Amino acid sequence: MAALLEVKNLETRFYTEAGMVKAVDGVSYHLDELEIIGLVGESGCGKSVSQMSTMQLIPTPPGIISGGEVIFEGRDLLRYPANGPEMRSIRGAKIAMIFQEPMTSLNPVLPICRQLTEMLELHLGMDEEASRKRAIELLTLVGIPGAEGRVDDYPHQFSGGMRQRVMIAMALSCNPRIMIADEPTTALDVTTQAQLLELMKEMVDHFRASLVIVTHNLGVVARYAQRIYVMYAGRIVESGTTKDIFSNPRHPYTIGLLSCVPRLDEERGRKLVPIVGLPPNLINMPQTCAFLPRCPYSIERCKQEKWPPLEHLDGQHYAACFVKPEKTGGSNER
Amino acid sequence: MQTYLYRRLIQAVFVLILATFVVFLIMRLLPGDPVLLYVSQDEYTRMTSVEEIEALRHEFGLDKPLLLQYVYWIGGVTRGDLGKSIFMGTTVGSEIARALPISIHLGLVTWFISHVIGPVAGTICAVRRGKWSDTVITVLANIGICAPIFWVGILLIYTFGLHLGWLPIQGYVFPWEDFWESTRKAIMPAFCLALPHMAGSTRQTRSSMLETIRQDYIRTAWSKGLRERTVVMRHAVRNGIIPVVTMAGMAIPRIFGGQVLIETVFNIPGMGRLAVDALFTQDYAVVQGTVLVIAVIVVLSNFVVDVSYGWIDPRVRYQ
Amino acid sequence: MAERKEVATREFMEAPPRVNELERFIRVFFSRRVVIFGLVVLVILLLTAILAPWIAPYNPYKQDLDNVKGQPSVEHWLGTDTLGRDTLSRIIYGSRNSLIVGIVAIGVASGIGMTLGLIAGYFGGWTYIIIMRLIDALMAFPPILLALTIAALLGGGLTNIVIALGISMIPPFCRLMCGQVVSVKENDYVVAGRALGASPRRIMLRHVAPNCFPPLIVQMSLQIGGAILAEAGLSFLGIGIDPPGAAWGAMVSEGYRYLLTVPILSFAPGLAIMLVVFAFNMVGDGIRDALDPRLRGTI
Repeated sequence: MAALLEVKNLETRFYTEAGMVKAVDGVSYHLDELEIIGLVGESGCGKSVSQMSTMQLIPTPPGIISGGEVIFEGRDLLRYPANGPEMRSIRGAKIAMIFQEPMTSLNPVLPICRQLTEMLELHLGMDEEASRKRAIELLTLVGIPGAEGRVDDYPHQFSGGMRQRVMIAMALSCNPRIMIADEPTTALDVTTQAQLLELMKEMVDHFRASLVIVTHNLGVVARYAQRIYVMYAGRIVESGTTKDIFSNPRHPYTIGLLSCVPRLDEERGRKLVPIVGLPPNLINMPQTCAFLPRCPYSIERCKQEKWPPLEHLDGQHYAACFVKPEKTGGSNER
Repeated sequence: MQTYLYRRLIQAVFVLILATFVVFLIMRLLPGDPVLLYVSQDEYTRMTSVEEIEALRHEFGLDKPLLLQYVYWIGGVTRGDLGKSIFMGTTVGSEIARALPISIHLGLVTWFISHVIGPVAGTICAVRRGKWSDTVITVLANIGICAPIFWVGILLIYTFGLHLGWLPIQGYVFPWEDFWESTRKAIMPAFCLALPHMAGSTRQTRSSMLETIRQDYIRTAWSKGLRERTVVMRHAVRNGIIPVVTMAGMAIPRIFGGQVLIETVFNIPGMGRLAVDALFTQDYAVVQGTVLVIAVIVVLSNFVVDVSYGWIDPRVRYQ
Repeated sequence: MAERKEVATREFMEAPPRVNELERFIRVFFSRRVVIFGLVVLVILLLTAILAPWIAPYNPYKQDLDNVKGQPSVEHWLGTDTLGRDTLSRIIYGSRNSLIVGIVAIGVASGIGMTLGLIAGYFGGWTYIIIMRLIDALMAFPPILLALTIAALLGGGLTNIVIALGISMIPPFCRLMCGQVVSVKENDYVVAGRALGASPRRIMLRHVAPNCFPPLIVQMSLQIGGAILAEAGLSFLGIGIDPPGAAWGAMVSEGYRYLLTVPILSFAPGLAIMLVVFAFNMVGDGIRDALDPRLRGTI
C-alpha cells in the first residue's frame, strides 16, 4: 500500500553570512495512513526545517529547498511554486502544522473565532454562520470550557496550554490528512504536556489523520509513536519501530540519547552518561560521519570513508553506522 | 473599553489644564513688564510715571498672585475672550477665527496624504524587501526626512512657479471659493508640509512591518494556506500599523510647526504666519492666543488617537 | 562491554566562536556604505568647523559692495550675497553655528530629559504621573513654535536659542529613558541592590542608568539632525545668531528674495543643511544597527 506521504532525499540549504548551511541533507522518510511517527534529534539537527520544507514554508531567501521529492497524494509537492494555488490548497486543508510557541503563534489582534473561521471559509467554503458554529464545536472538542462564551476572546486572554489547544483545533479544523506537531509541548509545563499529548492522540484518532511529532524529548515519542526517525546534523541516522529503537538502538547517537535518560526499569545507581562534545557546526561539514568527533565507538573506517548510508538491519530497522552490533551492544539490552 | 476611554479622557483633561498653565507661564517670560501683554511697546514707553504703570497693572489684574491671574485668564478664555491684538486693533479671537480654518484645511490634507502614502509605501518596501522598489523608496524616504521644508518650498517655487510657471507661488484660496485654484495653490505647500511625515512614516512602517513579518503568528498564517494578500492585510498590517498610529499622533503638533515655516514661504494667512508676525511685532496677546488654541487642538486630537488605539489593539483595552 | 575510544581530537571539535563586543560593533557599523558616507561627511563637517578660518577663501563678514549678488565664478565658487560677501565662506563659517547649536541643544534636552525620565521611571507612582503629564503637556506644542516663542521672548542670540531648542526637545528623551528605566529596574541585579540596602540615588545612578544608555545614545544621534533642522528654521524666520554672523537658515531666507536672479544664494545653504542632517541620521542608524543586531536589516 502506498504511503500517505513519502519524502525522498530532501535537501534544504540556508545561505548565511558565515556560509552555506545544509540544514537538511538528504532526508528520506514515509508516513502511512493513521500512523504516528516521531522525529527525534537535538536542536539544530534539521528536524523542524525538514517539516517546514515539506510544506514549503521555508523563507526564501535565505533558505532554499535544493533537492528531493515530497510525494503526497500522487504528486510531488516540491514541483509547485511555494505560494501557488496548489500548495495553498494543501496547507491547512490537507497538511496542517502546529508550532512550538503557543504564546506567539496566534495573531494578537484577531479574535480566536476569526482565526478559526478564516480557514473554514477558505478551505471548506463555509459561510459566516456555519463556520462560527463549527468553530465553537472545535473549541469544545479540544477541551476549552465554555467555548461559546470564549470564542470571541483574544489570544492574550488564554493561557499557554489553552492556546496550544486552540492551535490544535485550528490545525484539525479542515480535516487534514496529516498533522505535523513541531515541538508542541516544549514551551509548556509537564502536566500540560501530558494533557496536550493525550489530546493530540485523541484528536488524530477522531479525525482519522496521521501525526508527525517532532521533538527532542524521547519520552514523548516512546508512548505515542509507532515508528521513530532519529536525526543528526541534517540526516537520518537511525529509523525503526519504537520497540526497535528503544530496545535495540544501533547508532551510537541513539545509544547516547538513551543513556542520558533515566529509566524506571533499570538498576539503581546507574550513572547518566551524557554525550560528550557539542553539536556540529553545519557550515563546512567534513565528508566523514558527522557524529565522529563525539562517538565512543568509532573505528578506522569511520575516519576514512564518507558518511555511512542507512543500512537495513531487519524489519523496519535501519541505521547509518559502520560499527558492528556486537561492539556497541551492552547497556541497553533488555 | 469603557474604563479605558474614561481613563484616557481624564488624562486628556489633566494634560489640557497643564498645557494652558505652560502657555501662561511662558508668556510671563516676557523681558520686561507683563503689562506688554495688554499695551503696545510704544504706549508703554510713553508712560513716564511709576503711578501710571502701576495703575495699568492694577487694571489688568497684574498685581494679584500668579495663580489668581491664571484663573482669571482661563475664565476669560472659556468665555471666548482671548484678549486684543495690539498691532491689528482687533480681538485675538477674531484673528484666530480667520486664520484657523486655513491651517486646519492645510493640516488635514497634509496629515492624510502623509499617513496614507507613508504606510502604503512602507508596506510595499517590507513585502518587496531588497528588491528595486524597496531600495528606491527607502532612499527617497531617507532623503525626505533630512530636507529643510522651507528650502524644499523655495526649490519648488523656483522650479514649478518661476521657471515652468505651472503653479502659483503664493497665497491661499478656500476650496469652496474656487476649487481648482485652491488646489493649485495648495499643492506645493501641502507637499512641503507632508514631506518629512511621509518619509518618516514610510520608514517607520517599513521597519515595523519587517519586524511583524518575522513573528510566529505570520508563520502560522502561511501554514494555514492563506493567500499572500490575506496574510499581509489581515495579519501583518493589522499588527504592524500600531506604531504607525503613534507616529500619526505625534505628527499633529509637528504639522502645525511646519506651517509656521511654510506659511511664511508661501505667504499663506494661517495660524503659523499669525503667530510669527505677532512675535515680531511684539503682539504678545496674539502669540498667547495662537499657541493656546493649537495646544488645545493637539490635546483633543491626541485623545482621538488614543481612542483609536483601543479599537485597533485589543490588548490595550484590557489593561 | 563495549569498546570505548578516547573521544574526539581537538581538530574535530569546534568551540563556539567568542564574541568580542567592540569588534562586532565596528563590523556591523561599517557594513553599510551609507553609514560610512555619513561618517565621512561628519568628519569633514567637524574639520570644516574647526579649521574654518584657514579653509574659507574669504572673510565671511567682509563686504564687497562692488561685487554684489554675483553669480558663481572662479573667484567666488558659490557667488556673493547682497552685501558682496562670499557665499562659500559664509557656508563654511555657518557650519560652526549649526554644529554647536545642534550638539549643545541635544545635550541640554537629553540631560534634562534623561534626568526626569530616570526619576519618573524609578520612583513611579505620583512622581511618574506628574512628570509624564507635564511631558505630555509639553508635547502638545509644536516644537518649532515653542522654541520660536521662547527664543523670541528671551531675545535672540546663541545661548537663548540653545535653551529654547533644548526645552522643546526634552519629551522624546524623557519618555525613552522612563520606558527603559521601568524595564531595567525589574532586573534581578536592581532588586538585589535594594535588598542590600543601597540608597535609591546609588541604585539609580550606578545600576539603572548605565544599563539604559544604548537606545538613548541612538536617540541622541538621531535627534541631532532634528535640532539642526529646527535651528535652521528658526534662523530662517529671523531668530538666530546676531548678524553679521552666518547661519544657514538665515542665508536661505536672504536668498529667497533674489530667487530669480541668484538662486544659488538659497540653494547652497539649504543643500548644506540637508547634507549634514542626512549624515547625522545615517550615522545614527548605523549606531542603532550596531548596538542591537536584531534590528539589522529592519531599516
